[in-house]
Amino acid sequence: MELVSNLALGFQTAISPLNLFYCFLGVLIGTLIGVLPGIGPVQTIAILLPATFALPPVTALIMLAGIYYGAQYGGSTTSILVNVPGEASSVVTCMDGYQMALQGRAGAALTIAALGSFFAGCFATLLLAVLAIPLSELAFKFGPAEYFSLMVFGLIGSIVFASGSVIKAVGMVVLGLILGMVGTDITSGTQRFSFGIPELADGLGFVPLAMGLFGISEIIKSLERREKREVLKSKIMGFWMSKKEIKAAAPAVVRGTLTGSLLGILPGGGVILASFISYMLEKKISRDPQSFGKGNIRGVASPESANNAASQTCFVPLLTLGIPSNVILAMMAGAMIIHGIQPGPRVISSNPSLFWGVIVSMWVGNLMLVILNLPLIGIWVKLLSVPYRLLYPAILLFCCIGIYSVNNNTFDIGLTALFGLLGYTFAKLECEPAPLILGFVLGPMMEENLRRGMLLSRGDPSIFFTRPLSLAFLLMALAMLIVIALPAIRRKREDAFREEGEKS
Amino acid sequence: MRSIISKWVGMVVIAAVVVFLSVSLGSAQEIKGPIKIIVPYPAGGGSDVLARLIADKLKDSLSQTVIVENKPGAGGRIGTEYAKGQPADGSSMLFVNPALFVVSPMVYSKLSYDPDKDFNPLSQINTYEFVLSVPGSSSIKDVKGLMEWMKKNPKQANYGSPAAGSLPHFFGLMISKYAGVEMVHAPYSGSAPLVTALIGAQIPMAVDVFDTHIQHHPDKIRILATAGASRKHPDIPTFKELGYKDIEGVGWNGIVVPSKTPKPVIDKLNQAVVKAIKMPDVTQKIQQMGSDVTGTTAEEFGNILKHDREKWGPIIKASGFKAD
Repeated sequence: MELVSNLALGFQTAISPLNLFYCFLGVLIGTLIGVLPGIGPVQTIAILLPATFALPPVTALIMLAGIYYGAQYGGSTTSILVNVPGEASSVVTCMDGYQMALQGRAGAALTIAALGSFFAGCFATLLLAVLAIPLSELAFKFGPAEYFSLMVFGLIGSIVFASGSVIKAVGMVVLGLILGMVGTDITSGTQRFSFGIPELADGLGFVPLAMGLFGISEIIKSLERREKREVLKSKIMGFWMSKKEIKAAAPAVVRGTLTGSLLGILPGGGVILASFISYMLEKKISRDPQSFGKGNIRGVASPESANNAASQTCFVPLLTLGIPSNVILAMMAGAMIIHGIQPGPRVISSNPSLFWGVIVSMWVGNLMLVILNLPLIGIWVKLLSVPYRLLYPAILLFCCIGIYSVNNNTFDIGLTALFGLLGYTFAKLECEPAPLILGFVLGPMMEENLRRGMLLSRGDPSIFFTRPLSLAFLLMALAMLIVIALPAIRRKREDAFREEGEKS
Repeated sequence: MRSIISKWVGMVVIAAVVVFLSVSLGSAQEIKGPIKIIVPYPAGGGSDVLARLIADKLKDSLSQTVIVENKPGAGGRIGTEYAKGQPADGSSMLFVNPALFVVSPMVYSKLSYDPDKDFNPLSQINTYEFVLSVPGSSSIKDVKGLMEWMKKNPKQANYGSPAAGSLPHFFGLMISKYAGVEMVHAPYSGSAPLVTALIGAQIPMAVDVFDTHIQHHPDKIRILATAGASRKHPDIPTFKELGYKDIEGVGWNGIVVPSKTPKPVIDKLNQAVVKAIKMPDVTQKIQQMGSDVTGTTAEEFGNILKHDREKWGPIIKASGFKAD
């Protein structure tokens, strides 16, 4: 019954005119940037973050969350129609979605992507509502030892789940850890690696780092390749699926939702992994694996449901433990802190209307997305033909305004430019920046908890092994290390990512 | 809303300058006229809210535009350094606290400002008391019980504070000296994670400011004593009443101006600021934040600064704490 009253409180918050409006704005922006390849939710949230300062915190979070899951919807549109993933998480959707479009079934593919996502969104909202309270109770049992071990688990997870070379992923995590060291050390209060520059006393800013590595570098990268986008010429006909398609897609949606929900909760996981794993699973259990990649509707239904479910359940560790499991959630954590709300187990009790409002708004937003997506497909297709030479200067300008307004300081703009160049270098070296960002965010937290744990135990390291929760995380981290070290599994993983890479 | 819009317009203009012209043009000459209160912390924080409350009232009483300018970074030191170079004609004021004006000068070997040479005190705005708390589930019921427990379990006598080098950190050392037990300090990254750890009994006790703990008292957190001159809450004793005469820990917010600001200007601003914070609606809001309105004269504020340095100086020195 408590669940009902909580959800009622959430509805009250979520359907206030202001919040409805910003929820709509969020999902609209999300869909828009999802459709446009190159601009993802990471850059968008980073750019829009300062603009939300003037809003009440709950409204700001509702809008930012809307951008995130809205992008998952929009990304599929581009994948299906143009064979260019609008979002990294929609890479898998290209495989069967575009094939369906070539066969004249684009309408059906778009419909199942939207309906599957909606089902996943509803389920994830409920799951979030049910799991949040027990998990936040568990969070109070988390001492420094547990947090430390959880971070170890998360960092190793980010290596395992990164695409491409393991060595490079390890290198990027370590680089992230080093960059995270800059600034005032929490435990001793002393400055490290700040070279007497006061702007570095608080550490490198997260916004300049993320915007430089992802946003600016993406723009530089796009400038060097010719614009080559071919919008599907044939008409998109028949939005409705045939009976046979419905029968095939429905169970795939359910499986995708379950897989996505689970992977969203894990630290280091998130949407990309969810869509990828669910596609592999669907192919594996299918009686006819050959038909995948040739326009099998299940290949669209399952990953699209999975990425949407994961984009919502990955709020669980943030809102209950205060731990962001991926880059976007790290950004959301930053947004909460800017609004004076420390993400963590106390959010539910100290800001119940915020917590439940954001959860319910996800369901409301999903409903809006279904309504928004189907009739507006024609417009999205047109948008794909806006030339980049107009789009990019505009994005760059908004980036600069956004970064400056975080600290009212021009130092940050220079820093962003520097990280932009670094990001471009990484792209040339085929190093993925995501593990770096996770290392940057989790590293300082890991150090803080390691040292706090050692302080409280007066220098006895056994607390990390004697507390059962902590031990469990360490063992799981160890298991993941073994998995990645086993040659057979490593080969399979590389094959899988290669397959994905070729398509994109 | 108007100030938000004008702030945005301002930011767009500045950003446009930065983007389209060279960076060296970024720091153009400040225009005289509007009065600004420089807050060296981000928008939305405690100091910022307070400064905006005051700015709103000063607008009417001085019939001038009064804006709050946020210059966050390096724990307030960036904004403070920025403020010392602003015109000393009453058009710029700076929001400060003990971290910037009492602790920093003692723990930094190189500090980019001198609180006494670069600034003149204007008025202390409010004070907030420190508290000593244990988890709600703890078997310790009062300060005496805590002292006995620490004597019996010296290896577990750890206390948390919201930050290393904060006044609560040194306040804990003050208690440690009294107790005759070497308490180990575990700093957290702010009050929120500290409160979470305390509720979950991850740490046996914590020192923090009153308003972050009182909302959880007495169920989830038990405040053993407050550190002001008189009771802050009818059910919670002060250290003084309990016989710990010298255990007193009070933080504050205040306003200073660049040092060459003429005396008549200081007096005029002081009157306007004190009038603003003593207005019933402002006082009420400050009390809701768990602190008490003071509104001192410029001289009194100067004396408070001197007194605080004499009081905390020996403890900070004895701790050996260094920030750079």
